[in-house]
Formats: sequence, C-alpha cells, structure tokens
Amino acid sequence: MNIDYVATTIAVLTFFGIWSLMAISLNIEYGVAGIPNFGKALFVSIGAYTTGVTYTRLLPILAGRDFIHPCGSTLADAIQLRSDIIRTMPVVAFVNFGITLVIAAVISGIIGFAFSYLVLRLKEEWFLALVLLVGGEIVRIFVRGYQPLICANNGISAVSQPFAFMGGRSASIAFLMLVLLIAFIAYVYSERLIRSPYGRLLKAIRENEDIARTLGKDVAKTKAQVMFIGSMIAAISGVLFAVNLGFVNTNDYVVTLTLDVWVMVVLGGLGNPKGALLGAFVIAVLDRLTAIAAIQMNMAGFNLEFNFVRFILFAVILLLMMRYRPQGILPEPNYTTEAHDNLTARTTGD
Amino acid sequence: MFERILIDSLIRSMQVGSLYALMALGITLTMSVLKLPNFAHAEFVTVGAYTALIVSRNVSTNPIIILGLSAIVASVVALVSHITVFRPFEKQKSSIYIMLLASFAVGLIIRYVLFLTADTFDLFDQRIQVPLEIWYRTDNFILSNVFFWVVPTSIVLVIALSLLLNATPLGREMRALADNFDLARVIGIPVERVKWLTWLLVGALAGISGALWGIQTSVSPLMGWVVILSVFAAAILGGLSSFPGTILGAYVVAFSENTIMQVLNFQFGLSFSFKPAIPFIIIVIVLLIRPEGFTQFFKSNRSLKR
Amino acid sequence: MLELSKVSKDFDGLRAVSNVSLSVKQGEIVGLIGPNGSGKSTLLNVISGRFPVTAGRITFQEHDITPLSPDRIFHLGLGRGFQDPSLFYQMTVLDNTILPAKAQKGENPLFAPFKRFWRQEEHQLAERAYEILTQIDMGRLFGQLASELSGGQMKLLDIARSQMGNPQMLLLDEPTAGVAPPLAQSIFEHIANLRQNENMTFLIIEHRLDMLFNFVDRVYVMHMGELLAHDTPDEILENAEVREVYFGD
Repeated sequence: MNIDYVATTIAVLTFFGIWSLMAISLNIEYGVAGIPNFGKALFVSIGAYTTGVTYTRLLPILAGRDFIHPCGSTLADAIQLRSDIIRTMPVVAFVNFGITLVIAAVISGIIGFAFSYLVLRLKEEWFLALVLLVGGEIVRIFVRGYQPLICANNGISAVSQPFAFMGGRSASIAFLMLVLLIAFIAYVYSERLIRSPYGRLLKAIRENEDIARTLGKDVAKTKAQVMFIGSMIAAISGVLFAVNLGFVNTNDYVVTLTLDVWVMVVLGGLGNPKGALLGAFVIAVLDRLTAIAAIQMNMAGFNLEFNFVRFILFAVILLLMMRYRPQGILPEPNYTTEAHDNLTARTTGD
Repeated sequence: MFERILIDSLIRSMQVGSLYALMALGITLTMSVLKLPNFAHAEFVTVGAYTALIVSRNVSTNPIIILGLSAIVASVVALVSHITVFRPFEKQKSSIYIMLLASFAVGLIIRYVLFLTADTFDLFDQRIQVPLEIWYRTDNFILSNVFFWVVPTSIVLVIALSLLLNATPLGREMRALADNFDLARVIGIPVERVKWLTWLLVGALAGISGALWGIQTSVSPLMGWVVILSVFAAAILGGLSSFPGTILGAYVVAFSENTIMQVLNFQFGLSFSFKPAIPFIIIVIVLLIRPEGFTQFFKSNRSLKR
Repeated sequence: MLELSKVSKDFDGLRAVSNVSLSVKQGEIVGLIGPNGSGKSTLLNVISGRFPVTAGRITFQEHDITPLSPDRIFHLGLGRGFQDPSLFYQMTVLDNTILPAKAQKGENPLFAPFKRFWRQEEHQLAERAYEILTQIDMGRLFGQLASELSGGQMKLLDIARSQMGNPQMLLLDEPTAGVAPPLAQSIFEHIANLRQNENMTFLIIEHRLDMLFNFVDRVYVMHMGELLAHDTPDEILENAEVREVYFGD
C-alpha cells in the first residue's frame, strides 16, 4: 500500500488541533484548578450533537430551503440537501458553522456550570468524577434512544466542514488552518489565564480549597467558572471533531474518549498548557501510527486486529507516566505573575 | 400476557440481582478495605467468564470445576494487578484520581488483551458449553438449570462471605483495615497480607460471577464493562460500605432494569434502548440526594465502615 | 465588635462547644485558653464559618454571621490564622501574601487574560505585600516557595498575609505553637504592633500563658466545651476553678 504522506500529515495535524482543545480544557480544570473532570466525553459530545441538530434544522432555514426530515425515508434527500447547500452556498455554510460553535459552547458551558454547583452536595470529592462519567453516559443513551435529535442510532452524516466547497486537498488544508487557529487561541488564553491573578487563585484552590475559602475566596463560584470555561472549549472541540469526521454518532463519545484526553494531559504534564499540546500531539501521532500499522499488518497477512493494541498502548503509557514521571514530560513551571519581576527589578536596584 | 411477561422479568431480576450482588460485594470490599474505586473489577468478571468458556470447551463441563477455575484465574489476575499497579501507587501516596485512572488503565489493558485473544481464537459472543435444561415449568414461566445454579450459588457465597468477615480472624483484620488504616497498622495487623487476601477474595468473587453471567448469557470481551456501572450503582446504594445494603442495592438495580423497565415499556411504550440509563440515573440520584445509600437501614449490622 | 450568644456545636451527637457567650470589643486583644480538647479550636472554626453552628448566634459588627460561609465572613473583615501554618506551599511567599487581597480585577476570568486590566492593580498589591513582608523581616524572601520557609517564618506569614484583606479582627489559633521562645516573643510583638498601628482586634488561642498574659486585655477560659471563667489575666491566675483544671491544685 502506498501511504499518502501529505494526507496523513493533514489528518494527524487536524486531530492534533482538535484534541489539543480537549487537553487544554482538561488541563485548566484538573491540572490547574484540581477539578477531576471524568466527563470530558459529555461536553465534547454536546458540541457534536449540537452540530447534528443545526446542520439538519438551521442550515436549510439559513439557505431559504424547505426542511427535510433527516431520518427515515427522507434520509437520502436530506443528505443531498445538506451537501448541496454546503457546496454551493459557502456563506450560509460558514454562518451555520459559526452559530453552531456559539450555541454548542453556551449550552455546554451552562451544563458544566450547573454540574459544578450540583456536586457541592456530594459527600466525597471523587464522587464528582463518577457523576460526570455517568452523566456523559446518560446523555449518550438519551440521544441514542431519542430519534428527533440525531436520528438515534443512525446518527447524522454529511455534516461537512465549512470549507468543503473548495473541494479536495485545499478544503482539508483550509480546515486544518482553522482548527489550528482555534487551538492556538485557546492555548494563548489558557497560558495567560494561568499567569494571571486568576491562575494564582486556581492554584490556591487546587492546593487547599478550605484555606482559600477562609481567605475570602468564593471557591464554589470559581470552580463553576472553570467548569464553564472548560466545557465551552470542550464543546468547540466537539463541533470540530464532528465536522472533521463529517458524521455525528453517539458511539464516538464514550468513556474511552475521556480517558484518551486524560492520557494526553498526564503524559504532557499536569498544569502546563504546553504539556497539553505535547500530549495531544503524541497521542495524535500514535493514534495514526497504530491505525496505519493495523492496515499494513492486515495487508501483510497478519491476522491480528492491531486497532486493539492502541488501547493497550495508551493504558500502558498512562500507567508508566503516573508511576515514574507523575509530573509529565513538561512539568508545571512555577508560574508567577509579573509582579515578581517588577519587585525583583526594584529590590535589586535599591 | 402481561402477567407472564411480569413473572418472567421478576425471575430475571432475581437472577441478575444475585449476580450483581456478587459483583457489587467485590466493589464494596475494594472500596472499604483497599480504598480504591476499582473499575477494573469489570474486567476481572470478564476474565472469569472467558476462563469458564475455555474450560468448558477444553477441560470439563462440570459446573463446579468451571466455577472453581474461573475463581482461581480471576483472583490471580486481581492479585497481579495489585502487585504490579495498585500497590506501587499506594506507596507513592497517589491521589484517589490517580488510583481511579490506574484502575481504568488496568481494565483497558485486560479488556483489549481479551479482545486480541477473542479475535485470534474466534471467541466473540460464544456460549459456555454447559447443557441448558429446563428444571421447572408451569403455564406462566420456565425455570432453567441456570437459575438454580445462579441464585443459590450467589446466596451461599454471600452467606459464606458474611461469615468470613464476621467470624474469622481475617474478617476481623479486614474490618479493622476498613475502619482505620493507620490504627490497624499500629496494632500489628499484617496489612499487606490482609490486602493480598482481600484481592484474592475480590478476584474469586468476580471470577465466579463472571462465569455464572457467561452461562446465563454469552461471553464477550465487553461483558464486564457493560454491567460495571450497574454494579457500581448497587454498591453505591449500599453506601460503598455496607454488605446487606449492597445486596439489597443489587436487587433494587436488577429489579429496576428488568421489571420496572418492562412495566414502563408495556404501559408507556418506553423504548428498551433507555434501559442502560437506569443504573446511571440511580447513581446520580443516590450520590446527590442520599450518599449514604441504604446504610441507615442496617445501622445495627456490623457494616464495613469507611 | 464580636458577640457570641449561647453558641453550641455538636459532632455526631457529641457536644464539643456548649452554650458559649463571649464578646470582644474594638481594639482589644483577648485570650482564649483551656486544656487540650476543651473546644477552643472548634469554637474558632465555628466563628470563622468553617463549621456550621448547632445553636446560638454570632454577630460581627452588627452583622449576623451565624449562617455565612468562611469567604463571606472574611469579606466582612474577620480573618483567621491556623494552628498548623496553612500556606499554599507550591506558591511563592509573594503570591501567598497577595492572594487574600479582596476584589482583585485579575481574579475575574474575563479580565485575567488581558494584563492591561490588572497590571496596575497587581503592581500596587505587590508593593503593599512587600511592605507587609518587610515588617516581618521577610522582604528578601518574596520569590521563594512557601515550602522553603522555616517553621517560625511560616507562622509569621500565616498571620501577616491576612492583613492584605484589611481585616478589622483576626482569630488566631496558637500563633506560637512549635516556635522557639525568641521568635514567639516577636510574633506577639507583631500582633501588638498591628493593634497599635492598624487598630486591629484579636481573639487568640494560646498555650504559652506566660507570653500571652503580657499582651492580652482579657482572658476567657474554656473547659469541657463550656466557658469556665472570664477575667483579666491577673485575676484569672488567682481563680480557684481555673487553677484546678489547669494546674490540678
């Protein structure tokens, strides 16, 4: 088999960009603020499901076309309609895409915010991890069973990315640039957030929320804000994930997705956004390499389902990192605000 | 017609609930004695089921031998995961989230090794080679031999486990560990040995329940993972500490998944695709509203306090 | 300034604090003493909002603070220190000191990513924090991690940093526990200075009675969760009941 290196590179980088968003959000939540979000798949899936809904409902309205029911007997017509609009009316496609991003981010942010207040009632801290994990599964089962949202089990196909009108490779490159741009903005945002007084507050809460509270900090509100921010970023990554695949399906947003994101953050370095990027990159490359290896091995006649090896590999990476290098490849630097530099300059100048 | 479906679902609730109880007791034990929310328990169950499958095909179809070997293999897997993974993290004083992640990772490794094995030897969705017989039949329902293995075996095991915990030195030591770890160490309880025995016990429980589950349905690499959250729901209903609470929780979860689901379907047309959500909703509701579960009902009992 | 009326606190049916009424006036330094397990620390935790009260009422400067959470109570001007110094050990001395400052613009996630919103404010806070650190002779150490400080320095910083929140009153739990006598003396001198210069009020739990009695105006004595006596330091030493629980005579 000939490997199309350019296409592979584009695919890997696109996945890297999308996964970086998830890793950056988990890094803010757990790495910096200490909130164990085991429901990453939930918030990513909210982005994807929103995409499924806007592409079937909103897109025809924006294009001034009649709504066609996306499931059942009219499925083929509905797919045709979506492809037509996206290919021939780029402006409509972009407006629809932009609105999707905003709606997804807001819904997900509100849900994250609500979760955070809900869990104040929890008796033990790690119950939060369990409630988030289970919350994701409840939403998934509901969406999978309730047809009007995304046609239940069948999912929604032909949710193309907005550059699809360009066709071929230029479309993928353009989309890649958009993904990397969004990831870059999220990275800069989180980097600045951590180096600000807000970052100091989050670190204080991570270390000892009880003391932070007696020093006048509203811990519950701050955690809710962090969940809002993290969930927004996760939902944006979910929209990008769905339009990159061109397909919305509940099976993509399961617990293993959450675990993948945890592997990225633990591998790269908890608390360090650069670590989140590095983790996402390593995982994106490994993911693609195992997929290629699987294909190659099958072609060569090995009767081994190599895709399964991916999960074993990631789990082993996770265990080894937590055991031998819990701070990750890129440990958290000792972040301070620039006040330190000013003081250093002044006191040494005296 | 409805009556028949109802009785049928009640029987299933009994059967499933007994197995949930066996699995959930393992979760409660690891949680209270070892302070670990062990998601890899799902895969210990699957390992038991695959052992049963392989034994039934190649060694013997005698249920006693099948269950015994399943228990042994699963308990060895449990002990190995303690020695290689969980103990080092405990020594490192890792946070509970790291332990939780580690248990997920162990589960993933076992699960996908089983996937590879099943793929290589074509062992997906196979039935364990135990003859299926009908032992009791009326107009309304049928009881197979599986029912008479699953339910009494579970009940006997649960009783044996309670005796072990309440009447043996090991049980006392496990309870002491559950109560106060540091104190247990100070008063000279051989902590590490008790932990080993707990892991062996937990693994054996999981192995037997996996074998029985496999006899009842069929064996696949995901079978443990599919039920693990139902099992967690049962353990959470038991407050993650009380044995009687956990057993009651197991039957409540099984009853909700089967009988209540059946009624909802029959009366309101609720689709069975929502069935997997039931244990999740139970988990969320219990954790938010009544985190102590049923423990209050069993205050007088000597529950495993955390 | 601080009024407690008939405050009680139960743990699982056990009464840790029973029917305690006390008051502290503006500008006073009041001691709270008693044998171990007499409920002093619990009382402090109840006042500062860490534990909800079982019964009774607490007011601070005419505000009913009984139901308030610790952060709200801090915002009203009632701060506290801890028995084991509870610093943020992964943060620098300077960050530890700035953190309690109230209403920081930079602590809003919308403004935080943009330095121009908070640079000025942060600069001023850093200057103020540096001043406070200089007062306790720790100016040079501002860039060190809190975990690198000595035990005595940690205790000092624990008290000093709450000044950033401009409290009118501080609750201190054994400010000199585990500290060598000369340093203990300077911790109390720092407290006395704060009263003189900032007109701050103090309620202090302390086991070093000799030291404490040199600095306090009045003393409350607790025993088995109840208030046993209340007097000036000299009179307390003469009190037969107090002598009995304390010295066994």
